[in-house]
Order: sequence, then C-alpha cells, then structure tokens
Amino acid sequence: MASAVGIAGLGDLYPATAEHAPALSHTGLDRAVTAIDVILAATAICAAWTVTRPRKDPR
Amino acid sequence: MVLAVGVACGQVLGGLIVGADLFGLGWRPALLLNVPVGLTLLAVVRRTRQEPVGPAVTRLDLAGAGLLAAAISAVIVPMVFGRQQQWPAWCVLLLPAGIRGPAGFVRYERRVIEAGGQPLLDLRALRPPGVRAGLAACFLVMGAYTAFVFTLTLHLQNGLGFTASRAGLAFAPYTAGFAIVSLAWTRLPARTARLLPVLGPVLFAAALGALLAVAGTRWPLLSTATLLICAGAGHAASFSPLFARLAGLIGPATARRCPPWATPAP
Repeated sequence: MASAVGIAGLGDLYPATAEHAPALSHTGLDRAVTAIDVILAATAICAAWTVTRPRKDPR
Repeated sequence: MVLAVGVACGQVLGGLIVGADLFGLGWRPALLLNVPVGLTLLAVVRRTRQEPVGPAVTRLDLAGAGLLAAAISAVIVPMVFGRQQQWPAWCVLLLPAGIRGPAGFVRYERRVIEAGGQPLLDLRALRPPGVRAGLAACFLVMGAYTAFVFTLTLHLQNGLGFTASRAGLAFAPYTAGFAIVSLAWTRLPARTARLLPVLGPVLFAAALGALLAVAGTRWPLLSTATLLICAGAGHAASFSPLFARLAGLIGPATARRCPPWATPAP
C-alpha cells in the first residue's frame, strides 16, 4: 500500500510537471524530491518516537 | 539479507527486461518475473514448512481482506486516474470513501476479535507504545522510496534520454548501499544501531537533495554513484533496524497472533 500511495501521490508530481515536456524534467524531479524529503523528515520524527519507547521484555 | 538481495536484483533486472523488449511486448514481461519467483517459493515452502508452535492463525479472514482491498482500491484508483481524466465526479466521490475505508476495516476487525475469530490484522499488536509510530515510519519510508525510484527513472528516460536498461543499471549503486547497510547494521554497537532509524531518513533525504543539485541536465557517474550509495544506505538504515525494533516492542506472544500476510514488510 505504501508503494502504491507513494507512486500515485508523490511520484505523480513528476508526470504532472514534465510528462509531455522533457525540458521541464528537472523541475518535475525537483518538485517530487522536495515532497519526498518532507516525507522523510516526517519518517525521522516517527522513528525517533519509536526508538525512545521502552522495549518490551521478550520473556 | 533477503530484502537487500531483492532490492538489488529487482531494480536492475526490471530495467534489463524492459530494455530487452522480449517478444515485442515492451515493459509487460517485467510483470511476469513474479511467475518463476512464485513457483520457486511454492516449491520451497512445500519442502520447508513447519507446523506452528502454539496458537497461530490458520484461516484467512476473507471479509476483512475484501474490506481492506476495497478501501485501498478506493484510494489508489482515483489517485492514479484522477489527474489523467481531469478529476471526474466518480474520483472526487471515491477518494473520501477510500480515506474512511480503513476505519470501517478496523471496526470489522474489532468485531472479529470480540467474537473470538481470527482477524486479518490483530489490532492488539498495535497497542505497545511506539508501534503505531514505527509502522507509520515504515509506511512513509517505503512510500518515499518507491516515489523516488519512479520519479528518477522517469527523469533518466524522459529528461536525460536513457534507455530502460541503462536507467535500471543506474540504480546499481543505490542497491549496493542498501545491501551493505542491511547486512552490516547488526554488527554496530547497540547505542549506534538504536539511532539508525532516525539517522537513516536524514541521510536518505540529504543524498536525494544533493543528487538533485548534480543531476539536473547531465549524469556525472562518480558523484551520482556516490550519492546513490548514500541514499541506499540511508534507506536501509531507516527500515531494517526499525523493523527489528518493532518486533521487540510487539513481543513474541503478540507477534505469534499476527498472520504472516499482515506484516509491515514491503
């Protein structure tokens, strides 16, 4: 599901910008990567929340 | 290890298969890669399957699976076709329904648990503190990864004129970085390994930002390869230690109640 949402949501920023205009390819990449970087920042925050939780004793 | 090899092979093989244009079918034979993989897995599972110890899920929750599939489709289909078809009414109506769909799925799964049945997703696994945030992080990093691969592939072919096979091979350094960290992170000191899920996305994001700066209208091999190795390493550092951490938070007793088709693996 993450893959499908990633491609359909973030990945779609590229075709929306440069699908029929190769000259705008870098702009499309720029927009998509900027959005991806925002998502990765959110990932780091979620991960920080998880790694600071106490680990459950497996016994 | 399995994930590392899968990522390493999939990206490069996909490009090579598309580039080979087998039987004049273009990209379509890439989907058939699942057939030999599936047949091999069936053969291996038949030979190696062991009976589960203790209570385990033995029956698929078909209604739950149907509800989840419908909810996911109601989100994905409008997102895929909405822009192409200028957001027709059915897309606008379906998307909010799809966003609410997971809530209906959760309500149904609660009822299955209360009735003593075997749910598709045992919600008790989500109770330990940190598990939901960890799963959200797994979801986000995998979504970011697939969006990056999709976008960069389009840029390489559409913007820089790469063939499909050359675009696939361009990801080889990424897969090398992913494989190295996936295999090596368990040997790091515990204090360092604990921080990897936080440092990984930061490295991944920084590498993508730098790649943007050097790969605008050309593809300098040395600098792009170095940055892709860093991006792959950041991806692996984001995912593998976090997955291990989640298993520790959930604990073996709860994990045993989770069916294998409901794991957060990509």
